[in-house]
Amino acid sequence: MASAGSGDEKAAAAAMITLISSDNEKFEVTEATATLSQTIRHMIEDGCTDGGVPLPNVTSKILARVIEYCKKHATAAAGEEGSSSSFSDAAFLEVDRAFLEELEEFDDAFLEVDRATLFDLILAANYLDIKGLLNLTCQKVADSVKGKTPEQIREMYNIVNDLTPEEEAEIRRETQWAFE
Amino acid sequence: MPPPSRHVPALMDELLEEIFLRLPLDDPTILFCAVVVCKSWHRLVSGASLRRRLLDLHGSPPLHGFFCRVDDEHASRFVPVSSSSSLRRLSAGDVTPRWRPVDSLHGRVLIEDEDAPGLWNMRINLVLWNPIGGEVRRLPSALVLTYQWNAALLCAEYGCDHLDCGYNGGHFKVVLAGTRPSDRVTSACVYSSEQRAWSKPVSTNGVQVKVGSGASAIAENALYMLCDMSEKILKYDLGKQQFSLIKPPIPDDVVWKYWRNVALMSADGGSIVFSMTWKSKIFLWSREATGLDNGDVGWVQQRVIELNKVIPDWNHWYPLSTPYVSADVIFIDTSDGLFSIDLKSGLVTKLLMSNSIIRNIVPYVSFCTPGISLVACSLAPIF
Repeated sequence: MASAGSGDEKAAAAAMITLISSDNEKFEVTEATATLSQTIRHMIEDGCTDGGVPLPNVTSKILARVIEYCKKHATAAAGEEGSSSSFSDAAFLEVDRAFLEELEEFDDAFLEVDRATLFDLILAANYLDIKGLLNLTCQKVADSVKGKTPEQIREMYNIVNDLTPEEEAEIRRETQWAFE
Repeated sequence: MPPPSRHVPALMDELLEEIFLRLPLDDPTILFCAVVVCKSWHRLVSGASLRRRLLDLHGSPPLHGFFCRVDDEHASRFVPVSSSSSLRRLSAGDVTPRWRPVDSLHGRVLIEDEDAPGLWNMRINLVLWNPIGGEVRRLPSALVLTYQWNAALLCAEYGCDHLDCGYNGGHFKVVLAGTRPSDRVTSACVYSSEQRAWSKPVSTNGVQVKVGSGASAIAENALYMLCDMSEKILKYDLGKQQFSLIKPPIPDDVVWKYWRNVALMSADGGSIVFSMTWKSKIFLWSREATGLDNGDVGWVQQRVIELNKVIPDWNHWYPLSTPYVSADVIFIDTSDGLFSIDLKSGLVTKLLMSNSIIRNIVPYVSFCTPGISLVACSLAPIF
């Protein structure tokens, strides 16, 4: 079984997919990395990846970051599959925990980007349908608005306040308790 | 050369909602800041779509705390389940100087205005109050000729999806039931916010029980109320406008002796839960709301909580009053203070250090999403 598993892994590693960014840059990735994206997984299943997968909504800068995330998390997914099949002893669980901690550290470092990049990553995660990345990036934005005033939130994310002074006064009157 | 700072790209509504869904539920002030950011944030944060997604994600809204009356303070107040809660200063003091919590539903609280004229001529003055949305709606005084009454807040429509009830301006119903002391006849009338009037009272025919003041429960289209000095549960069917009596899931003589230690609650999925403290245990039964009203049919024992195992230093000599149950939390009042027990996690928290009796516990459960409409912001009291 083990040899068959590693054979599959080799086969998966051999299958490469070419992703083409909006600015026409090409990225060679393994199928295991690419299929973290449900959008690309469906394209592979439909057999329409020959000649590369054009991603007109994602720039090369953002696609490079997304691939970095997928590579790391594809390794994690492969590790999880391995653990469920043959390992269950405490030593392995210890290794597993260390790996999860490493993954958490990777995610934290991955999110150290400017806000425009963070929003670009949200848009890319949504377009490519990568649930883990969408969760990670949206949670980062949610965490960033904690304890901030409406003015600070607008400034952080370049949001123009299009509420009329009357509307804003009306809302604030009803939410006054929150601002005391 | 450092890159020029880029404009932050705009996100589609569904992605902004993904962000709002991840804001912490225990601190509603964040949602109330988000609602003032701009028009699209306002529309999404106060919209039904976010409420639906929150409900899908979490199942039920979180418990923030409870309103109660502490006897020796002669005043009602809010006790948060977390000491750092941003809701800790909630008070109906701006509505009326003297108030008593009666019931709550979907983030709105029914209070009795004890300062309004009429209390001494047997008029009950109820106010619907949204503690975080600011809504105040006074109900017309109700003449009941008794001090023995109870009231419950209900959705305007039976079987509604609760997405729009509970928000400013949304319709509601209040059932008021009272027992005339002279002949122990109980009557109920229903206030409809749509009609802005109380219905004609419906009386129990031949059923003599005294409506108790403990929390009532709603299941299907019926209200279940505990009775004082009685082993029976009074059921009022809102559709048929009929009263009936339900037998609780324990022997009559036990309830008769310990009727002060029983409580009712509405459970998810349209059933009611009956709880009772017996010595140092809390017993919980649920009842399938299938319209079966004959005796014990429908009661299923859910679990038994042994208090000496969950509360450290538990002394069974402590007098124990009614457990108050809400969502997945039970409050129990002991002479050592008021505790909450989370039924899911088993977490026990001491919420209030008080030797005085705590009454009228009304749990406050809400997603606290602002329900402010810029189009229709009519908050004028009815009278």
